[in-house]
Amino acid sequence: MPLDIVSTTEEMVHLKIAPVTSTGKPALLDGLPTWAITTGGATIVVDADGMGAFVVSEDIGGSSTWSVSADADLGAGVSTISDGGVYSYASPQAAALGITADAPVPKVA
Amino acid sequence: MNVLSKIFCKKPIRCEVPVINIMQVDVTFPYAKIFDIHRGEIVLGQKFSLLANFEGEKKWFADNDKVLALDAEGNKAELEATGIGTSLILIMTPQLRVLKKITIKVVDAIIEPAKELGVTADIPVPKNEERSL
Repeated sequence: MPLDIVSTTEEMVHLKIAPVTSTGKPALLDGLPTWAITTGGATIVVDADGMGAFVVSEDIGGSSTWSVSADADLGAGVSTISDGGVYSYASPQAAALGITADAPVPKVA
Repeated sequence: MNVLSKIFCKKPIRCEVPVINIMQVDVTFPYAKIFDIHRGEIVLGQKFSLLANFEGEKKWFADNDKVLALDAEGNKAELEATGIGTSLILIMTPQLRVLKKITIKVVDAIIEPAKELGVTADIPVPKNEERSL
């Protein structure tokens, strides 16, 4: 099921997987999953155990497509299951007006 | 040389044991019946029966007695998974013509494969925040 995520260009999002069987019970994978950015300029940093990853936005607004795939066949065969989605990121809204005051100056006569 | 030749042929180079898989064999559990099997895995200790739908005299053979206990008569065989491993079951004519070959692997447990990766996303965090994982 696609998982679309949203953040600002100042943020990143941590994704994690918890594989389940067709009846919803926890399941094992054969080897580590493969995480990737398939389109766009976001980057991905995979956790040491492979079961999660940070998707990191670009510094300018845009979108990227991420994916993760793994082998569900615990034997010699290969049965790939995968998931993914769109990662959208936009410039953050202003949080403060940033008002400052200069030194006072004489009124114009 | 295939596994059947190893079992039945004294001079395997000149001997070929033909397998005719013309027979349908069904497997019956207390809770299910599965039709026309040729390969399967079963958990250690389980009992099941095989039913062959082929008329005529036949012989049943299993090549690994430590793995499967086989008690056959006529079209029906009662089996019990007694050890971890693989057993080849052959159903043959009295002339040792192989009518059906079934491979049964006895395992500790049947591991159901993953169907979904179950991906979830945490709330966004600043890029410069230390990655906790």
